[in-house]
Amino acid sequence: MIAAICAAAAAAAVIAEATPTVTAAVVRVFALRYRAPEDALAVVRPLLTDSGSVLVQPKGNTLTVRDSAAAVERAAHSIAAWDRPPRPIDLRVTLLRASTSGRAPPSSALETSAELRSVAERLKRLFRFTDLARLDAAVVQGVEGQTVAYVLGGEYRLEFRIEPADDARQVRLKGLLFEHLRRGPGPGVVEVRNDILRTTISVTIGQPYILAVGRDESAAGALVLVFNGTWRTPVPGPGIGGID
Amino acid sequence: MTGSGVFAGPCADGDLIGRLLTLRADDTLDAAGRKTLDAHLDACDDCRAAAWEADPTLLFAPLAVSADALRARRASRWDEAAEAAEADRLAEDVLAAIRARQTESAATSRAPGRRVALRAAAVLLAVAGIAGLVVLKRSDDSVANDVAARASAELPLPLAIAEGPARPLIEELRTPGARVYQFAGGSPKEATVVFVANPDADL
Repeated sequence: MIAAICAAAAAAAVIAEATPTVTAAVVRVFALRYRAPEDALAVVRPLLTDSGSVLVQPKGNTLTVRDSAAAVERAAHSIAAWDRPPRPIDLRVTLLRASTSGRAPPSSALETSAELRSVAERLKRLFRFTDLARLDAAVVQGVEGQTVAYVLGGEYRLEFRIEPADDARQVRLKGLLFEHLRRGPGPGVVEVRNDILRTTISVTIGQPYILAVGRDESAAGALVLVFNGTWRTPVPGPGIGGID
Repeated sequence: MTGSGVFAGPCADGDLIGRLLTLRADDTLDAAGRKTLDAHLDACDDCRAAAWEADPTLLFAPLAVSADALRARRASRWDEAAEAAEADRLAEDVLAAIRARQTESAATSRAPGRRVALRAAAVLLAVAGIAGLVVLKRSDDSVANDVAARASAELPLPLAIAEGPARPLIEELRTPGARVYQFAGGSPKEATVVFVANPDADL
C-alpha cells in the first residue's frame, strides 16, 4: 500500500515536471497623466516576461500591458513611480579651467567656497591638475521637460533638456551640448559654435557631478563643469532660461 | 608599454625610467622601484609627458594609494570590520582582473588605441570598484566577480561607457573618438567625476 502511494506520488511529480506551468495572461490599461506613453516603453519592457507585450496608444495617452499577473503588477508599480508631475529644479553650474601648467590664477580664489574646495580636492586627488580657476557660475532654473540654455564665461554655451530619470533621486540632462563660442570669420558670420561635448548625463540631487573635458588623458588643461542640483519649491510662472 | 624605447628625450634617467615603467606594466615593480618611479615622474616633465603618452593611466592618482587609504580608513572603524574585509576583497578582485588584462593586452595587442581603451576600462572599473564601495559594499561575491569579469572582457572601440552596478554617470556620448573615465563618489555627498578625453574638443 505504502509502495503504491509512493509510486503514485512519484508519477505525479514526473507529470508535474513535464507539464509546463501555464499562467493566465492579464491585460491592463494604464492612462498616463504626465508622461508620454512611448517614453514608458523603456520603463516597462525590462519588467515583462518573454511572452509579455505592450501596446502604445498616443491618442489616448495610454499604455496597454499584457503579461502574467506578477509582471503586470511590477509594471504598475514602476509606472506609478515614473509618471510624476514635472518637478522644478535649481541647477547650479560652475565652469572651471583646470591646468597643470601654473597658467591659471592661484586656486585660492576658487577655494573660498567650501563646496568648490571639496570639488578641487577631489579633482586633485584623481588627476594631476594643480590649478583650478573659476571662469563662471550660474544657477539654471528649469522644470523637467524644459530645455535650457546658458552662456558661461562669455565664450561657452551650455544647453540641455531637463528630464526625469528612472531613479527619482536623479535628473537627466539630455542632449547636453557644451560649445565654445568663437567670433565669426567675417561680417556675414558673427559667431561660430564649436563642439566641446555632446552627451546625456544623470545628476543625483544633492551630489555634485563633475564633468571634465580635455583633449587627451595627458592634457595640461581641461574645462570642468560642476553640476549641483536641488529641487525647488514650485512657484507660479515659467523658469528662467527656458527656450521651449 | 614598450620600455625604454619610449624615452628618447633629453632626460639622463630616461632608460632607467623606461625600464621601471615596463616593470610596472608587467606588475613586477617592487615598492622601492615604484617610489623611485613616482618621485622621478613628479619631478621630470620630459619623462612624465612621455610616460603619460605611453600609458594614460598614469594621469590618474596611483590606485594603490587609493586602496591603501581606503583600507586604513576602514580599518579604523571597529564596528565595520566586515565591511572593510568585503571592500578589500572587492578591490583585490578588481585589481587582479586589471593585472590579468594588462598582461593579456600587452601580449596580444599592439594597437595603441586599443590598449588605451582597455587600460581606460580597467582604470574606471577599478576606481569605480574602490571609490564606489558605497554602491557595491552590500553586494555579494558574485557581484564582485561580475565586476572583475567585466574588467577582463573585450570592449568595443572606441571605448565609451562601462556598465556599473548603478545607472551610468554618462550616456549617449555623441562625440566620435572620445574616451570616457567614470569615478563614482565614495559617499552620497562626494562628487561623482567623469573625465572625457576628446581630441576634437575646442577648449
